[in-house]
Amino acid sequence: MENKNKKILIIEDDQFLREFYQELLQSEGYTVEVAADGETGLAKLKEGGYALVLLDIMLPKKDGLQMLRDLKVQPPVKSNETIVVLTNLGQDTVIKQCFELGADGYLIKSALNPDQVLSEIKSYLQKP
Amino acid sequence: MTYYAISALVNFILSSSLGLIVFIKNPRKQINITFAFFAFAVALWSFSYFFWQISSSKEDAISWLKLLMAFAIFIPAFYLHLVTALTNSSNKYILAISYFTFSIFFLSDLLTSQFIQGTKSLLMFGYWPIPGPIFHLFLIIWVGTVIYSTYLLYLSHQSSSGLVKMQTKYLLWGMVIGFAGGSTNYFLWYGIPIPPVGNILVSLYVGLTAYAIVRHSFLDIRLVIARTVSFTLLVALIGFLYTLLFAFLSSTFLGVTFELRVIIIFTLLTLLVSFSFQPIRRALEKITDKLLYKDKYDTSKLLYDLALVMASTLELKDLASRLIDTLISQIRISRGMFILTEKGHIYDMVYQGYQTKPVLDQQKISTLLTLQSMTIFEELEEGDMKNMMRGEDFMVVIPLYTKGEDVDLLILGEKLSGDIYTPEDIRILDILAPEAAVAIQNAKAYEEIRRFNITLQEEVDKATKDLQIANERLKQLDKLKDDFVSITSHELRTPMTAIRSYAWMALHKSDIPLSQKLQRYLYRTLISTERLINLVNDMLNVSRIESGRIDISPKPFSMIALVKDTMEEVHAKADEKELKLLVLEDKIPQVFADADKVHEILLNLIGNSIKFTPPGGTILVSFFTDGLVVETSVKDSGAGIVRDDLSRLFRKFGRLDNSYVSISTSGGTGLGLYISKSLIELMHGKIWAASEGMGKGATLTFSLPVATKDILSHSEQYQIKAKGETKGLEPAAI
Repeated sequence: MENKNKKILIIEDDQFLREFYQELLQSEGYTVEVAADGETGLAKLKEGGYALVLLDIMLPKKDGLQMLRDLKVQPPVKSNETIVVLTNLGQDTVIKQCFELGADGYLIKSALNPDQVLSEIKSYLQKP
Repeated sequence: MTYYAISALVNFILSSSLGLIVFIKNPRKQINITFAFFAFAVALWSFSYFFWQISSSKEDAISWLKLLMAFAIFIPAFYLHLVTALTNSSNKYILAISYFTFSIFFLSDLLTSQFIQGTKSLLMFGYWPIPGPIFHLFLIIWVGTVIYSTYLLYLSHQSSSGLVKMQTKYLLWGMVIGFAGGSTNYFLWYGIPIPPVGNILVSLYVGLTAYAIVRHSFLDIRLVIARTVSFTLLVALIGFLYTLLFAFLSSTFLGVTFELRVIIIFTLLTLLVSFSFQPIRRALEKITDKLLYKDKYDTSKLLYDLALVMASTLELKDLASRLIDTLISQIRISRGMFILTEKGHIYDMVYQGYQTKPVLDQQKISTLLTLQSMTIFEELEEGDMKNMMRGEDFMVVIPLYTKGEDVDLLILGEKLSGDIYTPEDIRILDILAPEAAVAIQNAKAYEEIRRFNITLQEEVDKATKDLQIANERLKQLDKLKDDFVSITSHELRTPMTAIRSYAWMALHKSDIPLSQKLQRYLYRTLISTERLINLVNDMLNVSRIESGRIDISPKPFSMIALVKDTMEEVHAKADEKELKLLVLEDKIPQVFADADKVHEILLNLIGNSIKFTPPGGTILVSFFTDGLVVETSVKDSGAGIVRDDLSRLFRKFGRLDNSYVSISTSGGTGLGLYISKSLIELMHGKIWAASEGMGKGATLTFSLPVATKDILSHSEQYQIKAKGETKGLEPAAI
């Protein structure tokens, strides 16, 4: 399946949510990797090669925005195609910052049903 | 009345006066006493001499003669004593002999007729004494003693200097002349037809001694002859001369002779008139002055009274009216006024003596304000100013200048007596003007301060009111916030309860067996709802704690008992994770705290430990006390706490320095420790955490006060009454 080739990285500290997204995407056939805190997440990001990264902002050790900054300074070995911020923070200032720091998308977790999450992800993956 | 009788009388008066003065000036001093004795002896001899001279019978004459000689006998004795005392050459023996000798003569005079044998008529004297044999002896001794004493006095004069020399000189001359004069009496004793013309010279010693006293402090007497005394003597002299003149003229031209008695009465009358003239004149002057308003005021008193007024009041109207009053009543002025100006216009007037309030138009005021200094009507030249003052009956206008710009005016009218203002009056006003100006300036400043103070007070009141309103609003908002949180939380609970309930039902009461997957989904749903409920509860607790809606009712209880009970509650959960719960019992005193709240805290701490400790681990509760506090420690072998996080442990999940880095709560609410800390601190305790680091476990410790007698007696200080509606804490999450 096509999807198997697409690696998705989920960086989310809440166990239930992390495992939910993982399960959701794996059920669609995607290859999913996870990270539970900012440092681990950043390490994986720097390795790169992901078709999609779902990045939470509120993380232990390093937050999402810091990680984006770090990536700008030190680009990954293998580029990541799309980075989508997946958070419950919704302030305009935060959204603006994320796009300025290179995010490709911004999704608010609690606003989306699982099927909506899937369709969003699919649309991001289809982008050339 | 013969010259001799008069001379004796004069001798008596003068000598006794001198003796009296010397004695009174210093009754304790030996020399004064000695001198007094001498003087009184002379006086009494003269006294008796006088009566002898006017005796009308032989018997009388002889009695008086004996008496006069009795005194005369001791005169040389006292003289010798006096001189030796003055020259500091007193010799007890000589004095004793002298007194002894003269005493014998004294006795012979009084008791025998060997001293005075009788009397006979000689020259103009009816009864001149005939000396007896003892008299002759006496006379020799008398002369010898006098000469010897005088010689001593002379030696003293020669050997002394300065003041003492002067004193001695006068005394010497006085004594020499006096004794010489007195000795003229002895001629007739021996039939030598020379009457005792020198008798009056005896008094010269008084004169010269008096001079020595007054001018040269003889006998250390500082006798200041006051003007009144010399005045008195002069008046007496005038009166006496007047009487003599009167007697002489009337006897010469009218052939009228007066008896001695009459002459004496006339003399006394003239003296009375001369003495009483001055006081009567003064009294009459005072009365007429008062009637005609010319009475003089005491300038010092007036200035003092004015100064007193200025010092005693800061109130403008009071100051002005009292000043006017004092001036008018003491200087006797008909009327006067103070005009107080502000920027060239009258703003107040204080007047006295006017029937109706005086009216002054602006033009007059402006004219008056051009005056530079005190202006007196009489001294003005004819012109506008003088006409204006004449029209208004202003006699004196005094402008009061101070450093300020406003000039006030003091205006005085006519004096009641009709007189012009004297130089003395002007002087007083000159002195008063600047002082009054300053006093009025001060009073005006005081007015301003008072006015300002009132405005200030009004401002403060207004500001306070504003603050009160703002405070009320804040209280309202606070209440609204609390209400909102409460209501919202409760609103949230309804759907939460539904979710939880149905999830539970699905999981436990399904009518069909559930797959693993489904069970997991439902289970996670339940867990999440529970998390949600716990979060809402914690938020409510935080809101209550921060609004002060928490009651703290401390009582003494045993920590160990409470810990054990709490352990029981969480036993099941611990068993699930195969964790060991241990309590290290120790002898500790009871603590004084709110057991319910401590229970919640224990649940939080032990719950955290259970959450963060991997299976097979241990949770140990231990105690420590120092008599004042009891420390309870919950130690686990769990995940531990990173050093950076230690300081942020007890915070609400707020953001630190703009980052979104969160503390790993592993399913907790993140508010538990914040609530625990708040509660501990409300109970006067402390809470802190320690950890070696990641994976090395953590120890959470909190302290609470021991229930000592002291604390129990001040238990009200530890109680906290919740504000407004109270509620206990929502149950904590486990």
